[in-house]
Amino acid sequence: MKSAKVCMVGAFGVGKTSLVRRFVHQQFDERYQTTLGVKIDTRIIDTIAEPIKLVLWDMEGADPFETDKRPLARIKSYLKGAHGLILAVDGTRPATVKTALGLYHDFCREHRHVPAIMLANKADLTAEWRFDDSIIPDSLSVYQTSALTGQNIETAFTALGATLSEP
Amino acid sequence: MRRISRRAAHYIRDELLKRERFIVVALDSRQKIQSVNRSTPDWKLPGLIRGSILPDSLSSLVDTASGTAEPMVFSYVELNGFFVDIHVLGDADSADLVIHDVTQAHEAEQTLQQRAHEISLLSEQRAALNAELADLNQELFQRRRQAEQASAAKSRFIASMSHEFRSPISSIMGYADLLKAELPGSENPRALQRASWHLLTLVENLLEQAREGDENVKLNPGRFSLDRLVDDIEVLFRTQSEAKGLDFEVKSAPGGIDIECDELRLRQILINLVSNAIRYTQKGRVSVQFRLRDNKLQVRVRDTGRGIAPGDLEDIFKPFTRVGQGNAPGTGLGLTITRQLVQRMGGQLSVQSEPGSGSEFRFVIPCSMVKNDHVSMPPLSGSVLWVDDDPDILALYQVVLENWGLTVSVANSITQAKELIARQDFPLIVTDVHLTDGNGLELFRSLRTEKPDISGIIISGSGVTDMETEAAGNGIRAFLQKPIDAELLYNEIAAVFEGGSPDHVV
Repeated sequence: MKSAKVCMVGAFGVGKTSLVRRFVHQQFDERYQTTLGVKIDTRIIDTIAEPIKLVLWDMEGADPFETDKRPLARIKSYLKGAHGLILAVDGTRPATVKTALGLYHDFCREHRHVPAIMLANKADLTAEWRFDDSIIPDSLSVYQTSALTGQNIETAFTALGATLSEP
Repeated sequence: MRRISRRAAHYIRDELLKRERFIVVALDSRQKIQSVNRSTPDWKLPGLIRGSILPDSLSSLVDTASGTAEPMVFSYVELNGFFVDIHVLGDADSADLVIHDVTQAHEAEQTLQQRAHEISLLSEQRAALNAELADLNQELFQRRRQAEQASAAKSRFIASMSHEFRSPISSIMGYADLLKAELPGSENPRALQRASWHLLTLVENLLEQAREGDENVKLNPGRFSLDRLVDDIEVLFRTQSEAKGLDFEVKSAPGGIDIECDELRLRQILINLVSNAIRYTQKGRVSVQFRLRDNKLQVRVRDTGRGIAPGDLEDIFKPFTRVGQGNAPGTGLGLTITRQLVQRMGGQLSVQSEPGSGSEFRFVIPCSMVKNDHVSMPPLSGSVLWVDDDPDILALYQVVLENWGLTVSVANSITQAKELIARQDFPLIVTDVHLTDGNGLELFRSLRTEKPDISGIIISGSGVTDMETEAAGNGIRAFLQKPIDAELLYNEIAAVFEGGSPDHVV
């Protein structure tokens, strides 16, 4: 079976761990727990082409204002060999879009081009929603997701999986 | 560290192994586990069994490290509830995984990181709230500006309406005065005056309601004879009360006193209260009593009407509320406005009433009192230019001033006035404030250099305005309000032509 390393990157606190947990374990935990390092999970999905095993690297969040550059260095080193990227942003925090795009552009400069999608998470917080897609490249598909309700998560991961399963 | 002895290297290794937990996994080229060595026998991780294929998560790490000549370290990898650093040392044929338990270090660092992120998130929230607050402030500012603009527009509209209404009413009253002189003993001119005062009061009531909350509304205090006011009230209402078969009595004490307050508004208050008393009294009497004491005017308006129930006493002051009055005519604004006006004049209005027996409205307003020294109006001589765009007003005051012995020229615009001034000297110019081609004050401003000796009187139909301050520097000696008080006008004109200021000008 084909296997693909998919890295979930983005600013801290956007819900990367929750998105992976919702997708892999169908669970949600309201407590915010900062991820330090990486957690690797897998899930097999069916696609039109063939089933594919997604090896999901839930990476620690990037903090562009962090003076300690080790976490960012870790993130960048872990991205090596990724087959796909999921850029997670918080739809209530516009600055997280810039952070995710920064990571994406850095990746594109240093590695071969790989399929990527953006998840604008916390879509359930409609009153605080301030997502602005004007700076997002057209080539990047954006899904408004909610790890709390599960909104669009299967759709987004499956879409990326389908792209990755293509020969 | 420079080269050390084998003994020292072994010692360090042994010490490290005592303190830290390691698992070393040896792999072949297909990532099949060749051996598993543990520094601590009881620390085991699932899936690490000799002869089996490396679990997916670890396999992905090895794949990521492949192709790198140097060992690659993956820090803080979560593995079955432990946090480990995984060192991948390998080449094309084999690889070693050195798994180092760093759970405790992770916990300490994670706690710090968690706090930092929480603070950062709070800070972001605060910044977002501040931005929202700034937006709200901006919106509030905009709305306030809009409200101010609307308020200014409303004020301009009220001023304009006031002017529009007062000018023709002033004209009617002036002509009624002329008729009174021409038809001595006739009741007709008085009926005209009465109706005009009622109309003016109704209009002023509506405008006053529209002005509510406008703190810029100014009073227009002036000195006038209380006797004349009392007389006017009696004349205005006697016919009306007699027509209903009511006794009507107006008392005033002491006589011969001038008072200083806003005469128009005082008349408005009196007309509202007295007309109400007559309207709601079917039999008996209505009396109005004026008393002056300690620079205060106290007025009581009593009637023997149906009275007001105690529970309704406060409601009668609410706008458009007419308590238990059936189909009686009226706008329902009179008492609301009356209380507003009394308060604006620094006074108080109270009411006592007993159902079936009648009501007494009493108000007290501060006013300065001076013994009056009204003189007759001896003939004057001199040239006056009167500027107004209302032909009726021009015609009226041309007659009035000529009756006083003056030579009167009239102009219906600033342009026409300037043409006349260029040809002839006028010691006094009387002008309406609102003219079709500009503002009356502008006329004086433009004459200031060439004709500094010209005196001016400005007639305003919309109350005292902010022009007052500027007016002083432009030779303007008085602002008079429509309807124009003939005695005040005479005094102002007389002061110009007699070369002095009468001691009782406004």
